[in-house]
This record gives sequence, structure tokens and C-alpha cells, in this order.
Amino acid sequence: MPSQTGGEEYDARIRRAENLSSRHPAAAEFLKFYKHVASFQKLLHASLAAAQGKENAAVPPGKLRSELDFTLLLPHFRGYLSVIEAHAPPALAESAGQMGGLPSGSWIASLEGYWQHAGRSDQPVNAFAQFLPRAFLQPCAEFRASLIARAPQVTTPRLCPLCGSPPLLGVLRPEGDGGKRFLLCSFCLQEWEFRRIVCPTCGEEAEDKLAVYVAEDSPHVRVEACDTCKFYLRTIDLTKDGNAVPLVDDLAAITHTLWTNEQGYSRLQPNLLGT
Amino acid sequence: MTSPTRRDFLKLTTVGGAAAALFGFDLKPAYAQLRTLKIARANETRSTCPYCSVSCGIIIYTIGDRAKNVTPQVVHVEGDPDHPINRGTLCPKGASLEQDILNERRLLKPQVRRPGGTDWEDISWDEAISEIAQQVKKTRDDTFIEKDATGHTVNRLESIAFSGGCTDTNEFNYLIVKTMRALGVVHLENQARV
Repeated sequence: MPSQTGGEEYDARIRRAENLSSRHPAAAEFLKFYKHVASFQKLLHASLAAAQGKENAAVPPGKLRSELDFTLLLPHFRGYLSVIEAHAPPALAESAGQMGGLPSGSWIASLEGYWQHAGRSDQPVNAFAQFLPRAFLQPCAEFRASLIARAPQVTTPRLCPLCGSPPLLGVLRPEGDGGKRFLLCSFCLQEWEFRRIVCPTCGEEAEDKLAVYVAEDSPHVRVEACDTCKFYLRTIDLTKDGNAVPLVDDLAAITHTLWTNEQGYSRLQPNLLGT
Repeated sequence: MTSPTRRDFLKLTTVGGAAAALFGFDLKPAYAQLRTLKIARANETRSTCPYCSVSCGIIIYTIGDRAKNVTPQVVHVEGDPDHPINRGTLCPKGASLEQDILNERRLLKPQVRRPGGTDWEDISWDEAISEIAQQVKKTRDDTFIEKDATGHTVNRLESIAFSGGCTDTNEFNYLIVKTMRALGVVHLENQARV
């Protein structure tokens, strides 16, 4: 299973965002902003890795959401808010400015609230309300998850086996002459195996209820919709485009989001930028 | 300072109608692109490769918008990565299954090549069935073996052989075996093993 936790992963995301923003004018604004977010996340990830190097401690299974080390995180938070304020669209920049004016106790409450509860409710997250803690803590969740020794998977759970959150995306990776489906966690960004032709939301298996929508100009972006529960999973097909980076190609597929909304399908979990 | 409760957190988790718009991103270019988006609906169906007795799992892609007057069209066949036998792999023959379904060289009516002839000629289904029946009856009447050299009753017909194609259905194969056995045919092979 591919690991998504090294600093080079962030470089790949940044490169892909640059590449896609020139090819997808409709998503250019999203991708340019994401590039700044990912650059910050890369730095935070590097500090977490450096601090972990000193402690050299593996994270036991089931402890992904154990206490956050705010002495390590808080010094980065003001810088993070400045990055958002400088590069985000007006509404989000204003929100970051307001957060910057609050005392550090409020920062801790916001981060702690997201860390403990995100992905554990039955409702999809409100991407705007949760953006600030979500983007900041994503590298922490990703880094923690990479330190957990994973047992061989014998079932196909609908929630992330590491943190219990619903999937953000599907990913098809080459297997034989076909594509094996993995689900990408909306909280810790780790992947786990999941069977094809079954709805990850309601478990529907009737083939005529499970439609796959693919646009002519982006064959590697699939909308896997369920006509029973009316939810859909966006899946990035790496057998069609091996250069795709699922997290970034998802952000570029903004027109797919508009189209699926028009068709009456809802997304199980929105991505970082709410599309 | 107390941490927010789960209830506090859930207050923030209702989905906004247009979250991207809430962020302040400009969605006009995306809406403009939406008008030119050409998107097709496909369905994926699990099946089994018919060619040999290994029984590899396959996924068949069919496009069609499910309108009543539209016949769904097979567009792709690939190995089923979840199947325990082949885990997504296919042999070259299995990988060409799409051409088994869609093939401009497929025969759509019966043809016959007469003894000594060099070309195939089209005939109707009625003619074909009637001619086959006459030939089978004549051959059976002429060559049926009721008893062997030692006088044992064998009731067999060695002058006709039957070979079934790999894409014949199980039900078809069942009927073929019943029919051939009734005639006394012993040289009989089909692929009812998959």
C-alpha cells in the first residue's frame, strides 16, 4: 500500500497543483491557494518528523487521536494563519484574521475540537467552518498514521481502520489488468483496500444502481454514484493517468462537483476547499 | 479553558449549499466550463471469463443513459482485482473479450460449404436446420453400432462428433449433452466446466 507521508509527497502535491492550474483554468484559483497551504503543511510535517526523531516512539494502534503536543504545534499556528490571510479568498482570509486576534486558548479549543471529533459524526463536515483546524492538523494526522504498524486487512471497512473517519476519495491503482480500489481517509489521508462495485456509503451492491460517470476531457476522474442513497464517491483512476495525485486532482475537479450537485448527488465528505 | 464538546463540534458540521462559494472562490469559470462538460454514464458488471476452466473474474463496462430506446453498449472489459483467482490479471485471450462481444467479423447468419466447394454460401436458418437433421439421420441410420464384435449391446454412434464452443452457456451445453447421448454420440466435448 502506498505511503503518503514523506516530505516528497508534499513536493509531488505542489508540483501537481502547479501543473493542473495551467491546464484547468476553472480550478486555477483553488489550486494556487492549495499550493500555499501544501507548502506550509510540508514545513509543519518536517518539524513533526524532526521532533519525532528525538523521541523515536511508534504510535500504538487506536491511539492516532491521542493528545496533541501544543508546545510543538502552537508556535507554527500564527505563521499558518498569516499564510492563509495572505493567500486565501476574502471570506477565508477574514476568518483567519479573526482567529489570529483570539487568545491561544481559543486556538487550542478549536484544534482540540477538530482533532477529537472530526470524521466521527454521521454528517459531512462543513468545509468552511473546519478549514482552519483541518488544514493545520492534516500533516499531524498524516504523520501519526504513518507511525502506526498496520495489521493485514481481512475485511473491507467503510470507515478508516486507523482513525474511524469516512473516506474522502477513492483511488484506483493498477492491479493485474484492472484497477484495485482503495479509499483515502478524509482525516488521516491513509488508504485502505475496498472492494469494487459496492457503495461505500450504504453498502448497495446492485450493479444497475451503481453508476460511474466519466467526463471526456478527464477520463481519470470518476464519479461513482449510488442511486439508492444518492451519495457519490469521487475516484481518481491511476490506471488512466499515472501522474495524477489523488488529493490534488480532486481539487481540480470543481466542475464535476457542480455537475453532481445538479444531478442530485451529495458527496460523502467534501475536500479541504469544500468542493 | 475547556475543550469543545462533541455537541459544540456538531454545530459546525452541517454542509453549506455551496461551500466553495463560502470560501470566496470565484465559481464563474467553473460554471462556464460546466456547460461544455461531456459526461457519460457507465455501469460496471461483474462476470466470469468464458474461455477456459480457470474461471477468471472480469468487470464489464457498459455505457448508456438507461433510456428505454437505447441499447447499452459494452465499451471495455478488464480483470476483476477483487477476484481471488486472478486478482485483476487476464491472459491475452481473456484480455480481448471486448472483441468477443463487439466484432464486425461476427457471423450473423448460417453459412454452408458444400462438399468439394471452395466458398461459403449463405443459407436460411430453416434450410440449415433441415439439412443438418437430414444429414444426421442419414449418417446415424447408415453407421449406428448396435452390438460390438463380441455381441454386447453398445448402441453407439462413432461417425458423428460434437464439439461445443467456449462461450456456449451452461444451459445450452446441458441440452447438447442430452441430445447427443440420445443419438448415441460418444465423441462429445463441450465446456460446461466453468
